[in-house]
Amino acid sequence: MNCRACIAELVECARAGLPPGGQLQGHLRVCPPCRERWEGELALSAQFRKMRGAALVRWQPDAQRERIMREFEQASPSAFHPSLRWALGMAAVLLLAVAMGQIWRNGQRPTGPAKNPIPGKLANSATGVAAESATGNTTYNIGTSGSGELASNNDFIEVPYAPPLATGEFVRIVRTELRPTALARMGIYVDTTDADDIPADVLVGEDGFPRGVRVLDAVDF
Amino acid sequence: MQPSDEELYRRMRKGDQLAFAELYTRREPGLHRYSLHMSGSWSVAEEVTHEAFLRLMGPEAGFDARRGPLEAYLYGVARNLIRVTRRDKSGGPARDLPGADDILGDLIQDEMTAALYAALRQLPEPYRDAVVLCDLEERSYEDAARLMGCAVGTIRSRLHRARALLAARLRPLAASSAMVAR
Repeated sequence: MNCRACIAELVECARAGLPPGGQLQGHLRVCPPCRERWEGELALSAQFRKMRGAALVRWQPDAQRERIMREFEQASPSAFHPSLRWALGMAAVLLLAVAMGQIWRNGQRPTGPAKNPIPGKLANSATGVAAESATGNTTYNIGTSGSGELASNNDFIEVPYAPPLATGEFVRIVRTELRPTALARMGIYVDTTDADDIPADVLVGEDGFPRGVRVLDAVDF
Repeated sequence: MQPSDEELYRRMRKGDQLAFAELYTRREPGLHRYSLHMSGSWSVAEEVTHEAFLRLMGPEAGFDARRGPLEAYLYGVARNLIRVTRRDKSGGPARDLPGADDILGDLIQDEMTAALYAALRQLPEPYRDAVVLCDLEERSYEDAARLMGCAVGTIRSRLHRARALLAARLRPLAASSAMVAR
């Protein structure tokens, strides 16, 4: 056995706390440097045992643990107690259900003339005006149609300088009688010598201003 | 079957306090002893261990399971923190400290052990790691190699070399003790 192999083996023996084997013992008897190394290794292993024992002594490990756990609670993304988490989860589900119900109800709710057909003369559906009353004021949703389109499709003549209707704005059609001079000022051809008022539909916006006028035949009125 | 460190880490990142507690119970004692042996100071060991776990729970924890086990990451963090502590204490680049603040040596009241700690701190870091992990922590060569991220043969040769250096440092002290005893 050479010294190199001997040292490798004696280190492992010293670490494991085992006595050297027969071959190693034979080498140690005849090799003073290896014997010296063996004694050094034994002393070293004994010191390491002492150090391992000393390191097991702890100062307040529980305090350290409590400290890190506190910090974990503060840093944790979900720092809630599990039961509180459940309660919050249930509340969220409930809120979601209520919101969904509300949305569904809104979807079912009748919107203007579509659900409540008003008896009377049906207007051109392309404009969004679904129906009009034969007698008094009626409210209609004109959808995306502007007053110009409305006027062209329903024989309404735009009132000059009136602000345009907003998209989706509700309008009322008021059936009334207008003085011929008033209609003439709007550019509607009428016989102004006729003293009688002329029956007409007036398209009134949400702001109360007229947007269009439609002259009716006497029979329609 | 116990969950792995990596599984516990994944759960603790989602806020599972029990997973963190288990991970702490499992890894803190060994990490503390490692830090203690590497630094030779109780207070440094306490702070380093605490800081390593703080980093693990922090928003910028750099642990990546593809790069190695969680335990190796913790030991790596502790090693770096000790290095920084040594550099701060010495007021310059890392250098070996004398055994003046060797609390363990004081505690043990043993000249030989105190001298061994001083010698240990003077070893190059890879050698000191090998001694601490294999002889003071009684880890297998395979475990130490995993934690150090090197080959088993490298750990073995480092340990043998480190032990030879330590034995050479302690020999005069042992000889004088023997003469006093005679």
